Amino acid sequence: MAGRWVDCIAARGAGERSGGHEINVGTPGLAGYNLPQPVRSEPLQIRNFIDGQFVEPVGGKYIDNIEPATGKPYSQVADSDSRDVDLAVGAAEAAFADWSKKTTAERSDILLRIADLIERDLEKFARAESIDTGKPLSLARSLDIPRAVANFRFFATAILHTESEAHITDGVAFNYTLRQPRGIAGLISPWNLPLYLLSWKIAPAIACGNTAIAKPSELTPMTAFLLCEICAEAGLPNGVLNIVHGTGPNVGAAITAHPKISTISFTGGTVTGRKVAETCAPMFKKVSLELGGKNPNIIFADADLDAAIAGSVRSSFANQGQVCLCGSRVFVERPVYQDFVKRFVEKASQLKVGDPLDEKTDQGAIVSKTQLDKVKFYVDLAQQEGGVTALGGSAPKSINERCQSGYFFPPTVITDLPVSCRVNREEIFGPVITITPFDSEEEVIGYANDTDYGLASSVWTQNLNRAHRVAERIHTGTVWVNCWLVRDLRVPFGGMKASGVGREGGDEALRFFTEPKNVCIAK
Amino acid sequence: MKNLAERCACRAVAPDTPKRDEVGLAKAGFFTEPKNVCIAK
Repeated sequence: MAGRWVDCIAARGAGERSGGHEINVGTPGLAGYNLPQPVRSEPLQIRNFIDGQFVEPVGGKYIDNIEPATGKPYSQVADSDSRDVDLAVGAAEAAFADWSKKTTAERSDILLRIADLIERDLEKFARAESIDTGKPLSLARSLDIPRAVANFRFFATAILHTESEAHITDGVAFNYTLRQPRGIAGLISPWNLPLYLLSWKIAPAIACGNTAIAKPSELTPMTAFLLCEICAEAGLPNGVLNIVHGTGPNVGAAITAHPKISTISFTGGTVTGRKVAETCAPMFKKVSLELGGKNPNIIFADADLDAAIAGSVRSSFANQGQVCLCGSRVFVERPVYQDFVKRFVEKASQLKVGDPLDEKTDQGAIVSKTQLDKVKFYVDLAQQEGGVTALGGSAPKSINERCQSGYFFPPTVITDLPVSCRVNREEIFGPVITITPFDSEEEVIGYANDTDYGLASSVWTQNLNRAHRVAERIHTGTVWVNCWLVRDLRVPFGGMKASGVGREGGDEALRFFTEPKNVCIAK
Repeated sequence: MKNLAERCACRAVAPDTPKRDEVGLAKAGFFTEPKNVCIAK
């Protein structure tokens, strides 16, 4: 399987390109950012994409799509329900026969064209993602959209290099394994990395010959909408990819419960993941759940402290801490604890909280008012639990006139909390981390594993033996040693315990989206 | 020309050699938890 891709959040980006799509209809005050200007008086309506056509939701209802940086609606998204999912299933079912019989080379060509077209429109996608999520434009440009391109390219080429097994039963039979597409896949993705994670599911699902019904988060539907235009332009046959917008209770639940959708890939919160599992289990659906995390970030005294601090600031606050892989629990070996806290706070305080469309912004807006309130709740709770706020802790002053009603919260560092407190056990999903000292390897491994979650961890040490020892004993699906968010798309990605079931990436994804069948031929 | 099941008796000589079924199950991944360890260069 070809290709190695590394997500690099720190990188700033590609050159400017013109936009051209009316994504900011209804958003005042954006002219200074060289965005495309409104072409209609009414807000843009993000419709469903079913059988290759943009269609109104059956119920005719829409919900406002809020720009987090301003707190104001700038478009509307279809508020679909089970009737729309039924239509999408019909289209996906009809498309499956032809799509699943296409050669891998034909499917690969189309996916490669999709990748090329997203890359052609990278700036438009990046601006749309930034406006929709509140993340810095520089981040969307350097991370989110390039990764979406990479996802399509990776799986487009992966399917050209697959192999399967043959087993020879002595003197009796010859067995070989067919891996066939499963049918219709239901793909549900979250708001923090919208196109990045949606394409991480769509690409392997359709590359393997399945058809798909995808539901992006209703909070961040815009780049999925733009992707539909790209898919049509790339020549993806009608009905292979259908996108139904709406809420989890209305659309997500209808997808997971639909009897003709046999495969469910869900990324999101653990509470919702549990509901997905409850629905799918008695229907014997194949399910992949990528859920939350409360990830430990461990710094030993022998670490390269400069690298550990720089890496930890990234792993703490990237995308305003709204990455399931963020290291929200920082553990520092006591001899370097005070020095680490001082220098970490200094570096984190230099992160510029600002308008996401400002090129100098490091920290944009929190995705929604609800999420902002959750962040504030946990910061207050940290005070009640005895924590000391070493940095941040309250909403910043007005960013600028455009963003005066936006959902901003600064990088916040809490110390002096017990490991067992709620703030150290529950997922916050925001720019809030705790720092806790430890005295021994044994102790910190206990701290790291003392959580319901098991998604990812980071270990900073120059001692190779210790790195291997600790990596083996930590209960997380990914262990990064002296790095964070280095992603090779071939490796298994996913979590243990309440962080999920199954793995994505590379062969894991290709196996998930296919059904193995053993053919046994007598000798 | 012994079949595989008969040759599994060689475990007595090489006790660390997994039986065929063990190899198959491990490959299927059901009874194992994949953990990716990524070490920066």
